[in-house]
Order: sequence, then structure tokens, then C-alpha cells
Amino acid sequence: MDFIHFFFVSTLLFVIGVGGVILNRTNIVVVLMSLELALLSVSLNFIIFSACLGDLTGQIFAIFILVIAACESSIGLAIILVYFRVRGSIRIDQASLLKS
Amino acid sequence: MKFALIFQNDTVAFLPELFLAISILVVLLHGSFLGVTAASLHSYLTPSMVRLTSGTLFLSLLLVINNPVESQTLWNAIFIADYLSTWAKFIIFIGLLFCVSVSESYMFSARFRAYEFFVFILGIALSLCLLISSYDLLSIYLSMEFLSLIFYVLAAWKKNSYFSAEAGLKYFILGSVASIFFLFGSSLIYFSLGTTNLASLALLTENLSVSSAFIYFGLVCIVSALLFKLGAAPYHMWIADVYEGAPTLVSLIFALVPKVAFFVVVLRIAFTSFWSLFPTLWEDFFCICGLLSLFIGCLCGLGETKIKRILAFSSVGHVGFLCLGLASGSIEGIQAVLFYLVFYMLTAAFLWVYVLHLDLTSNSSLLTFADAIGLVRSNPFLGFGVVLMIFSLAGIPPFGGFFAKLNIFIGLVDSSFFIVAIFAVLTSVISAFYYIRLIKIFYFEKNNNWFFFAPLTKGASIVLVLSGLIIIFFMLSPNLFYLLSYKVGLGLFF
Repeated sequence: MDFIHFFFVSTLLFVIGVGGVILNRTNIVVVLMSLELALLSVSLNFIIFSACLGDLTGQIFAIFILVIAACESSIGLAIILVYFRVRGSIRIDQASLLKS
Repeated sequence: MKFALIFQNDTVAFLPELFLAISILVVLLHGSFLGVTAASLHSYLTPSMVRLTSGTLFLSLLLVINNPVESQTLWNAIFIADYLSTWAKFIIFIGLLFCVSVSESYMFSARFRAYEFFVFILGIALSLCLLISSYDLLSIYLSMEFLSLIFYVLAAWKKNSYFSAEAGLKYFILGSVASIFFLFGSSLIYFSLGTTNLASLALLTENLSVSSAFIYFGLVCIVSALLFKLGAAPYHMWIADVYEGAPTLVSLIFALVPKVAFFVVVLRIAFTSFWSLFPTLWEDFFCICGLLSLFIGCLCGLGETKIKRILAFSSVGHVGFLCLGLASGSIEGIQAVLFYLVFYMLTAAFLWVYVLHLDLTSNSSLLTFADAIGLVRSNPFLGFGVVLMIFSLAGIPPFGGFFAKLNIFIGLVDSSFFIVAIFAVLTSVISAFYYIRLIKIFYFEKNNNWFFFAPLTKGASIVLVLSGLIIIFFMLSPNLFYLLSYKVGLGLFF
């Protein structure tokens, strides 16, 4: 079995996730979803490599990534909530007060 | 019982972290039990939390100094205790003690009544300690996330401010992208070498003649993520916005403490585990990052009128110097980096405490140069100190900052990076322009209004005096810092 094909799938997911963060201009929740997608693609990556190498470290890494992903999304939602309270919207293109 | 015996040495070497982890819980309980009873208790809660937090930090500082283990890997080689980690922990504890000692008056005047801030400070201390002694990509990632999650929350701490919420949001999104890149890079390293432990990676890559593109790409991803957290140049876009939007006390923490820990991690990755890739990867990478940071630090700072943004861009420039120190790749380069880190932290402590003091007295939410004009007339001594510190940042001879830059240049010239060194001198001259313009505004600008500056508190003046005296009178006994940084740098290699 050729593991490099699995690697292509997870790398494609990673590119979609990072591209979603970079290209998205309007909605912050979509950015959060793209971040989650990228994190999950990396943990998929680790699991594939761990199966490929017959080594356990990658699976441990993947479990820790899941934990961190949960923490990160909860903190991200909390920050979005704070932002929504002061600004009244969560459009990302309006977040440019500090630039001027 | 047997389990306890197996990890006996590890527990002894890990005492400061264990102590911090337990004391976080104690401080949290103290705050929540005292804070829940009555709102009026808040005026009493902050001072008690300050004392408790600084006591905890001081005790862990003593534990770090009295660490009996000289050099050993801990917990199945996930962490390491050595000279570098001991002294880096010492420096970050000093930095955090500075932050705590100026926090009380700021929280009182800015009407922040949240005791959680001190729990977060202890959390920062714990995560930085773990980050400094990390010896595995997994533990580096976990402690980096621990630190970043606290920082995201702290940046958005001022809940009723547009700027703070926006800073928190930007920091969160960009920081998460950086940590995802770190993970992707470490997965590639894991794929190509089959382990994530830094010592095993060092052994595996020692005689690597043909290395795959996976290793290079993975390493570029990992170090880019670390340089993002430091605010080096291609990854600097968050730093000015976050420093400006976050509450000043939080920007003080951002500016002071994390740089040391992240540079220790970069040193471990570049010099310990992937030392064999130095000529093919690290030299060019750090040179490009350093030169770009210097360039951006000096050009973007020229047009700024806000003090916090100027300090942010100046920190980008100084991280550029540190990257050039890494690029020289010799023991002198490492020594220069450690030396520079200490002096940059002390100078930044002085200037940020001064900005914190300005923030208390000015009405506008974003500090501009106009807020700083009256200082020299109302408090000439502090004004003169600030001017000397700015001279030190610009690299004028008798102060510590000059010697820090000189070490970097010596390291570069020793490794025959002549053109890079000339370019660094040129950008340093350009950035001296805006530092000196700052001094001109302080001393010679006329203002119509008479400014009032609140007197300094005891904690703030202790921080100012300690950091100022070390920078100004560094000339009197330079050997201490030189020998110490040399010893720590040698400890990284052997």
C-alpha cells in the first residue's frame, strides 16, 4: 500500500483549511471552522505516518492535538463573543480599527 | 512505590514546575473564595493577590537556582534540565516579577478588578518554564499552546474596548495559523525521521548526506511558527496591532517575557538537533529573516506617531539582530544572542513601565507622542532615564545596548558575513533616527497644556531603578554578563 496517497489527502485538507483562513474576508466563524479543519488534517497526517512507520508517537500526538483543538475553539468562540458585544457584528473585514 | 522511585530524579529536577502548578490552584482558590463574598472586597483582593503571586514567583526562582541537577533529560526525554534552561528560567522569573510589581497600581487606576490576571501570570510562568526545558516536538507544541491560549485571552482582556477585542481576535486567528504550521512541520519531520525527540533527531541527522525535501520543508514550517511568535519580519504583521490594542499591562508582558523562551527553543532546534543542516538551511534562513526584520523595523517605525506601535516595530528590529546572531552559527553568536536577550528585556522593561505610567495619566485610549511631551518638565529625572534608555536601544556607546549590538557584529564578522554586517549597521543608523526623534520630541517640543504625571509607585520605581542601573552602569563590570552568557552558550553544545 502506498502511504503517499493518504498523505496527499491530508495535505489537501490542510491547504483547504489554511486557504479558508487566508481567503475568507467576511465571516469569523468560517475562519474558526477552517482552523479546525487544518488541525484535524494535521492529526490525520500524524495517524497516517504513525501507521506507516509502525510507531506509537504519532497517535499520541494526534490525541493531544484533539485536546488542544477543543481548547482553541472554545477560546476562539469566547473571543468572538467579546468582539460581537463591542462591535455588534462579526464581519472580519470591519476589524481594521487599529490599522489607521 | 516503585513508580515514585523510577521518577525520583525527574521529580527533583522538576520541582519549580510542580511547585508552580500546585500554587496556581492555591492562588485560584484564594481569589475565588475572597472575591465571591462581596464586591467591596476587590480593593483588598488585588494587593493580596499581588503579594501571593510575587511570593510564589520568588520561591520558584529560588527553586530554579537551587536545582541540584546539572544536565539531565527528564520524563522519558520529553524535558531537559541544563544550564541554558536554568538561566533562561531565572531571566523569565525576573521579568514576570517586574510585571507583577507594576501591575497593582495599573489595575487600580484602570479599574480592572479581575484576580484571574494573577492566575494567568502564574500560568505564563509555568508554560514558559515548560517551553524552556522542552526536549521533544510534542512538549514544545503543548507548552507553546499553553502560553498562546493565555495570551489570546489576555489580549482581549479589556472587555469594553474595541481595540482590545480586535487585538485579541487578530492575535487568535494569526497565532492559531502559526501553531498549525508548527504541527504540520513536525508531522513532516516525524514522517521523514520517525521520531520527535530532539536528542534522537540530533543523532539521526548527524551524518545526513542526502536529506529529503520533507525535512527542509518541515523545519522551515516549524521555525517559521516560532519566529511568528517572536515577531520576526516576514511574520510580523500581528505585532504592532496586538501591542497597541491590548491593555498596556498586557503588552508589557508580551514585550518582556516570551522572547527568551522562544529563542531558547529556536536554539535547541537549530543548534542541538539539526546542527548538521546549518550550512544548507539555517544560515540563509536566519540571514533572510534577520535582514528583513531589520529592514521592516527601521522603515515602518519611521512613519509612526503612536508610542506603543513604535516600540513594537523597534522590537521587530531587535529580533532581527537576534536572528543575525543565530545566523553566524558560532559560539560567539549564541553568546551574543543570550547577552542581547537580557539587555533587550531590561531596556524594554524600563520603557514599557514608562509607557504604562503614561497610560495611567493620559485620557486618550491610544498613546501618541503628544502625551509624552510634558514628562521632562514634570519629572526631569525619569525623563533623563527614558532618554538614556532610548540611547541604549539606538546603540550609543557607553550603555548596555551598544555592547549587545557589538557582540552580534563581532559574531557576524567572525563568520565572514561582511555584507550582512554592513547592512545591519546601515539599518541600525536609520532606526537611530526615529529613536532620536523621540528624544527631540521629549525635550524640545513646545506644548500649550501643562501635564500632570502621577507619582511613581514603589514597585514601578524598583523596576525602573534596577533595569536602568544595569543598563547604564554595565561598563563598570561587564565580565559577569560575558562569562555567564559564554558558559550558558557552551552548555548548549556539550
